[in-house]
Amino acid sequence: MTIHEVEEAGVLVLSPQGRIDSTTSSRLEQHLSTAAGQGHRRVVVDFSQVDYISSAGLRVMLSLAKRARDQQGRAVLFGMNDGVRQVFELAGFLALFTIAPARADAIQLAAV
Amino acid sequence: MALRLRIEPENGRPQEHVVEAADVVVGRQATAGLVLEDPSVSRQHARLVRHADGWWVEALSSTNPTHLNLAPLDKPTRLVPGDLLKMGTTQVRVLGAPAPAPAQVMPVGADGRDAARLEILNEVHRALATAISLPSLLDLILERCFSVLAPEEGIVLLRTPGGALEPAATRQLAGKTGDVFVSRRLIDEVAGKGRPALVMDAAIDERLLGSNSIIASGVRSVVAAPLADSDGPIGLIVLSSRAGVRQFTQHDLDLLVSLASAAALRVRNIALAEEAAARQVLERELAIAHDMQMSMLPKPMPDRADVAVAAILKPARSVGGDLYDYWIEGDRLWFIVADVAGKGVGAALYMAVAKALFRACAHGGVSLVEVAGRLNREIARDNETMLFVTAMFGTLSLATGEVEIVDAGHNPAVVIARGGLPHQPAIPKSVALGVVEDFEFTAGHFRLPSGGTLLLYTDGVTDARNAAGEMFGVDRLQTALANRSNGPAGLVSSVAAAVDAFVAGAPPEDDVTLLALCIP
Repeated sequence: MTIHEVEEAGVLVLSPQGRIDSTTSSRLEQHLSTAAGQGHRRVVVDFSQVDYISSAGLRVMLSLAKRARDQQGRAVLFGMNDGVRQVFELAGFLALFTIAPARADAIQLAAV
Repeated sequence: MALRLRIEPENGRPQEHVVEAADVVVGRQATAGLVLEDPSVSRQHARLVRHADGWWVEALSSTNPTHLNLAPLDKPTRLVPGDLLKMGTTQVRVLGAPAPAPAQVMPVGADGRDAARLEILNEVHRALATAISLPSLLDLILERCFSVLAPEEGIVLLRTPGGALEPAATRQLAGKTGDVFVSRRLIDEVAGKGRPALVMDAAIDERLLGSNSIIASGVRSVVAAPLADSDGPIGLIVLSSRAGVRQFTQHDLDLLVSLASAAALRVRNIALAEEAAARQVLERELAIAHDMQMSMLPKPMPDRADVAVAAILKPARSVGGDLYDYWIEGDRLWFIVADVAGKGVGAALYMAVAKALFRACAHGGVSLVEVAGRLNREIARDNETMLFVTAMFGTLSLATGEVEIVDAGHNPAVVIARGGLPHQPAIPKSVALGVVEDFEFTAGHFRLPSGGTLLLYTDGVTDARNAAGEMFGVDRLQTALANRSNGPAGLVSSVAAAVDAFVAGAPPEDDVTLLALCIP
């Protein structure tokens, strides 16, 4: 799994590619905790190139949601395919995040 | 009967070669039995084969022909003394029977030092073969270095699984004390670039050897060689002395490099063997953990007239994070199927915790949503590892078939009426346990008709992948349910068998759990 990182309008946009599962999720976690360490509180995760997310991936997303809540930050997601969206939905995780319809909206929502 | 040849390169000295093996490839590649260092020769140019009637030659390369007595060789041909083979620009002349083996000639080097060096290396090879553990091997390597090269201090650094180079063995001349340090720059140069180093002063780094002893000890002479095998550098050996006591030479460095390369292979082999032994211990422990985990699952329920239960749990690794449980309290049956996020030992430990929590929280007199709330608060408390548990749990009335159930972020339940098609009962969706500390859970209610079955499962079923990366999915689950065998036991085993057939031996990525409850 590769993860692209770009900053736009004071928002960090992370674009992981491939599967976020028990083997790859630690890399996403590393990116997110490094970003937090550098003071990024507004984060967008671009799911448009994510094929699958497992419960290990959800754990990473949970830590992102908790960090955003504890630090008055923002965590906005967009671009989920049906399968990925269903995993979030099944676990009741959609309620934890702001879900944006597209990239521009996501950045705008995170920048607020 | 050996074959004696005279190799005549276009530019270069002719030399004689005796072929001993019965089947030899002639070519440019280094692994050929007879190597011809000629760019116009193919990597595998021709083949020499010994038959009962003598030696035969066969062309192997279609691009670069082999000529026999100036004619292209188009089929295997028997060789006779006097034949002239031509491969590329190299001529190979077939001679008669080999001359008697020449007496062993010692390689000649400047003042015969190469011979001594070979002897030392031979001895080291033999000695290395006797070491059985990594520490004893490293000590042995340093001991050999000391006896041959007489440094004052020596150190072996090995690469850890994390990638850092750590001291693995040190040795000092008797009477010397203090830590042996090596400069980071020297390490980078030698281990990083795989280059040996011979340094004649202390300018490299003040931490070269001993934190402050360097000033007192003055200029030092240092030799360092990488420990490298075919997979790259695995570490390095560094020897040093006060320059006034001993100054290393290029010859010393050459010898150290040879010693290091002899040692490297052995280091790798022993490291692999120790790793395998450690893995065996771990596997034994995991097997014990697996047995314990399985023993925590409820025993099959004795046959009853009012309910039938069947379950399967297949851990992905030896231990996993799935669990199921059920028990009868009065006229109702408590049940749970849950999946602790993550796999392996950590998830399995928490599986045991979650199961105990559910047993402690769930009992008569407490509403199901209160059970869910307590369970959730316990798991959410101090949840620094972001652990969460998806679960489907509740009660089944044995008298009426009424089901009260909570869906805490879990895969949908399935109800199969007798002879009917499977369908998903409407159950309010709640968040997984441990995620939101003060979450208000909502329970769902429906009646399981007589002869109906309630099936609960974990995502290990629907997310099971085959070698092509496809997932089993809900549609295949529906098909498996439609083709089920009778009874709850038949149901869970049909689905498990369908998953097995689908993944077709691909290693399981997640636990597979199925629980079926049936009102006869």
